[in-house]
Amino acid sequence: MAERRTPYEIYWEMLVFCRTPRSFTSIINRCNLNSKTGQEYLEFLSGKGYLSRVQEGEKTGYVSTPKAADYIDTFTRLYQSLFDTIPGFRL
Amino acid sequence: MKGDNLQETSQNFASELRSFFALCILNLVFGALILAFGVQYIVTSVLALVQGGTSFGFVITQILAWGAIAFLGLRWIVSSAEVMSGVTDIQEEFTALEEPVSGEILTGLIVRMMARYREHRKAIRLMTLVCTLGGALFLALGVWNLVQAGLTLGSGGSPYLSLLAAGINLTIGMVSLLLSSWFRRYSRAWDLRLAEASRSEEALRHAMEQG
Repeated sequence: MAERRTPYEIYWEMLVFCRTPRSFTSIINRCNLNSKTGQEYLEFLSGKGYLSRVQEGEKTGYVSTPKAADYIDTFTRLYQSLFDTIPGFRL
Repeated sequence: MKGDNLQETSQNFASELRSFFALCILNLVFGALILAFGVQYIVTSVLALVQGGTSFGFVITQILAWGAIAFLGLRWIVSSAEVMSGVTDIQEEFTALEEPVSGEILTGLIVRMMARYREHRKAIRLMTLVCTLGGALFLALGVWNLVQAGLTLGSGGSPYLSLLAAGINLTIGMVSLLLSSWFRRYSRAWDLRLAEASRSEEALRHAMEQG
């Protein structure tokens, strides 16, 4: 059964993973996406300027742009605060 | 995020993982006990049927009732295992991390926990329901055993066996209700987080547009 993530969670995973240049295959494997969905997400992030294409020999890869840092920081802060502000479960 | 905050978040995350894991183990053990009780009483009823001396209809009713309880135990174990399997790998990964845990690795694990909760929300609700129903059933059985003990005492017989059964059933019933309340608390914490995460999406969308 596939894990249920929101698009924003997937964007964050992709952007963090692509801090160093990554191939399309490694991105979809890491983010557990099929090719079609993976392509859509990559196109979206590239279109917004969060990812840029890099050429490594004959292969094309993707790398996060400096613009992605703000999104990564905002996401990280918001998600970590879920464990700080909301009373957790304790036995 | 500052180091102290991150440390605190990491501790909260670890503590919650431990608590939930303990709850799943407790639930699993308890489900196994219910299944064992059910099977044991089915065997006892079948033996009573073979030996004769008891009404056939009564024994069959008993076998069906204990069969339903054994099935409840089995369903309980399956639901617990489903929910536990989702958290076990996250817990193992977290335990293997070296201190201090990096903010991004911790956030990645939080994202996975949220995804797991979304995935298992139905199973957790079912488990809460099974625990509540099971608890009510065993409490009712315990009360019935107490009534039986009273009737036996009234007719001059020994009530000890009925009292023992009452003790067992009432204990199982109360533990079961306790487990259901713990699952409800766990769900409440995670439902709040999901709601908060949905609200955060607005900020994320804004961050994306601004970017």
